[in-house]
Amino acid sequence: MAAKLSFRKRRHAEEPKVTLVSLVDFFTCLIFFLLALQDMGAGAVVSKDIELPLSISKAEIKADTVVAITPTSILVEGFNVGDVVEESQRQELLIPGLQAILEKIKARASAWQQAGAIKDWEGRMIIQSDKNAKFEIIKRVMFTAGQSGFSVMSLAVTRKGVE
Amino acid sequence: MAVMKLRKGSERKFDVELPVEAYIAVASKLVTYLVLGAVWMQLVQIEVTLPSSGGGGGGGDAGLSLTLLVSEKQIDIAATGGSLPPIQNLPNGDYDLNALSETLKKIREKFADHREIVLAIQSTVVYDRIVGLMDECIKNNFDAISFAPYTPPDAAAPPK
Repeated sequence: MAAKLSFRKRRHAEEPKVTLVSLVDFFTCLIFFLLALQDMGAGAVVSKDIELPLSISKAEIKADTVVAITPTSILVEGFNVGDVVEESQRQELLIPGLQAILEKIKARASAWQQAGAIKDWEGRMIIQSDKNAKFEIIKRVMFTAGQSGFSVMSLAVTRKGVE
Repeated sequence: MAVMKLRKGSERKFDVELPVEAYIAVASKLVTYLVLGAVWMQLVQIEVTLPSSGGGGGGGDAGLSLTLLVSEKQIDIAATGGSLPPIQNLPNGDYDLNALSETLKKIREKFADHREIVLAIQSTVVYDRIVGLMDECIKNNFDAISFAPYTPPDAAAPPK
């Protein structure tokens, strides 16, 4: 009896081991998946203030210079470069704040191109505009981009049936 | 033999447990952050070309120059040599996209290779409505879309 008791005691004294290796594998895969998801186009940088319109387009978005038009402001890579109401009422089409930052981006891209870091710079731009924005401001943004050397433009939209 | 013995004796036993708890703690926080920041919708793009200074004329085929003159109230379809009857808005104020699609389909039948279309848009038209029109153009294979500003005759400022 005594022998039996001591045997039980020894068995319960063993520390349980949790196998964490599979959990580590799972987390690693999940992190890579989520990072890849974030890197898919300009998806990660849609401002919370912007509600994109729905479209049937299937053309995949290409990561590029992003100009966002929220209900109140114009943003380039997250930086405010102009007020929507103010710019819509300006007599000339050009938006000075937007032009200044786009020219800086173009100059930086040209420097990279000269250094051989990028092969050819197309001057691509993606406009993420709120669905309630008026053509007045979109027209001005496009005009300014064209004047600043960004000639290939795309409009970011949400694919119908996926949202 | 002696060497072998020595080797056997000097063998190290690696029974070390890696401290994975720290990694799991970091990974779980990172996963939470990424999940919260993820955008669960598929973004696509519509490529457009720059607005031209005048209304129309952006098409590649000089023989057609198909232009949609988009105002708040109606859509006019113009091309080289004439125009079609305007497509009036629906009673609820929306554009009659079905009528537009039918018209574009008829044009497509006559000009099978033509892809260019100019959307000449009034400044006050909302972006969501423009995308709706662009969708109809894409559906009918007019996918080389360019924009132009447009001022309808009734909205033009009176001469001073």
